[in-house]
Amino acid sequence: MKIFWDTIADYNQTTWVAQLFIILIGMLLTGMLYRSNKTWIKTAMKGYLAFTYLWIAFVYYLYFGEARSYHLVMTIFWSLMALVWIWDAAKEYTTFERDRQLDWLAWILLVMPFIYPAVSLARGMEFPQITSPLMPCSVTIFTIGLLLLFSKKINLFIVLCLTHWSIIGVAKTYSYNIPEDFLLAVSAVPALYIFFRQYFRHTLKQPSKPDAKYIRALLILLFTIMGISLTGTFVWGVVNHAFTL
Amino acid sequence: MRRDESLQSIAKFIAEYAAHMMGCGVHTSRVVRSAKRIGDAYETDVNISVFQRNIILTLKENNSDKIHSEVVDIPALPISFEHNAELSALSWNIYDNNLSLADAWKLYNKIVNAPSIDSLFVLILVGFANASFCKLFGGDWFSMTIVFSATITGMFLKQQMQRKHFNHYIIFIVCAFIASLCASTAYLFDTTSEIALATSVLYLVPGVPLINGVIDIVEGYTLTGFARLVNALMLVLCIAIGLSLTLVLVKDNLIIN
Amino acid sequence: MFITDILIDAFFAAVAGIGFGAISDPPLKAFPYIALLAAAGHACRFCLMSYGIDIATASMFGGLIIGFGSLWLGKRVHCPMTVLYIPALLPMIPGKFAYRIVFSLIMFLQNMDNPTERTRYFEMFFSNSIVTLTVIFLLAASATLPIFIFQKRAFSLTRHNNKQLSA
Repeated sequence: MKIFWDTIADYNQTTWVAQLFIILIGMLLTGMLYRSNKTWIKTAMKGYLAFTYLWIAFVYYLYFGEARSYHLVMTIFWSLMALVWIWDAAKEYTTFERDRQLDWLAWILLVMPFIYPAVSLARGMEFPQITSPLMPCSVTIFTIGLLLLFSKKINLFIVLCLTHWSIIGVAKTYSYNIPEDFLLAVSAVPALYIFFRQYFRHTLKQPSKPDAKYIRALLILLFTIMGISLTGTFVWGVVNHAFTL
Repeated sequence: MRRDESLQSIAKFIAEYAAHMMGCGVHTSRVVRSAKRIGDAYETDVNISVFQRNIILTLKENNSDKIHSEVVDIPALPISFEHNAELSALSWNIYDNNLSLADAWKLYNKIVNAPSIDSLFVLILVGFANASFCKLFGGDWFSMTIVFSATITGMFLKQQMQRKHFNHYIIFIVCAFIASLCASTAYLFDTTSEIALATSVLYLVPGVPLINGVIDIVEGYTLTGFARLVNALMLVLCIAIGLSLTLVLVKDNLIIN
Repeated sequence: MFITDILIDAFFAAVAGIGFGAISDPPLKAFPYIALLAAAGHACRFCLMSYGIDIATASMFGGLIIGFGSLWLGKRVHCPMTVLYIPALLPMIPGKFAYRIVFSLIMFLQNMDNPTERTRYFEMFFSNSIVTLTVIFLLAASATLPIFIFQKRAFSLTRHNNKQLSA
């Protein structure tokens, strides 16, 4: 655990200028994407996301995370996702069209990366040793928020990869003592539900086999199980004082 | 009785029927039996030789010397038990109820064009199935979660790639790699990670061709049986390649229990 | 709590059977029977193995139960036996052994210049291959056995009216 926070401190100390710069570009692009619908902005956004993922892969995991075990697989994992974004940009797969479902949640998710450091500070930690808006968990939550804001046609594969990463994130809350990541999981579940429902509407053929209501029931069952297990883990964590707040 | 159907049109139907059945994963003896049964219903004698990619069949009218031969390609269809069951039932239906060829075509098209099982439904069920598999091998709850998520990711990729008609082998290698890479993150934690890694690729196992191959061989259709087994083993090999890509990446972390 | 263990095992086998069956697009009416057969077969193997019987023999008995069960239940839903028993057999595939084949192969290649390690992985490779192949072959063969014993019944499972039993 000490290694974990040491690498984060090192990372923040060395790269905070670059981080600030990248975050500003991200805010700018999000604003532009929200206001206009031009293709080059969409491509720029995808390129930006690919760049951020590569940053996480190489700067955060490969260079600064070297002291941690298993950093190499994380590098590959994030590089693969960056590759998917590049593919997406080339094929113009994600359309970034507004859907206006759960907009409020999307905005919460987009602000979340800035809440992370605030929570860290509130827990009594000091500058280099805090979570920053340019760490894997914050980038994940930013992407999910962005996709939720423009959820008309999304790349579900990216979402599934990010979800997989969030599961790991939740598990890490215990072993590395970062309760901030719990926010990630809690907010990812409803977003995921929206994405699945969207996908379901897209792919559903009439008539379907089995009847659409059974598929919907299965989806609801899945998300009930997810919700229950998430609450269960959280309660377990609180009861066992796994978080040293 | 059915003098109005020409030998050629009967042969067309039986050829299409047999090729579709072979393509969607029915073992050879059932295909041959069903085809002969339909031929019987139309008072013809059907002789079939089945190869891996083609079927050659010869029809002979019972009370005359008329003979007609037909060669068809076996299409590469997704495996469908529904077609297997319904088409087998159709052959009995034709045999028992003296259906005309036009009715037979109508029923056949209805069966073949019925919607196949919804992909999202399959996706979630396969996720649950692989997670349960993990449990059966003695994995704990956390490994099950990891396997569930890894399977969903890999299976989704497989469905998308199949929709875009990628090469089979490439699909299997890529999906096995992605699923096992996702599952290998279990090594970050103190959990039954070996089991998680082992089960994560099992949703790809081509169980139907494997077992069909064994059945074919046991029933004497050694040629098609072997062809099916070889195809299935190639796919298993692809799974192994994808899995070993992950293993080579993470080999320093591997533990053997 | 031996009974609970068996029930848990059966439950997860049923879920696995349904899921792996779903990939091959079975008729919807077949799902409950696939689940039932998968649960029965796997629970049988689980019981036998906890009484100290080896995995190959236990799998063979599990396969026999699934085979005869599919012959019996197939008549009810008018499904060919293979439609029911292939998905039901899949949860019994010895995945852990199969994984260790790949694993030991990789490790064998990585440890070529270390004789003791190399021998160990070599041995591991062969023992796991033998177990995997034997179990899969026994599963397939034992589930197919009923077809040969009750040919007439097995061949007319999808027949709806069964007045005359010919052909």
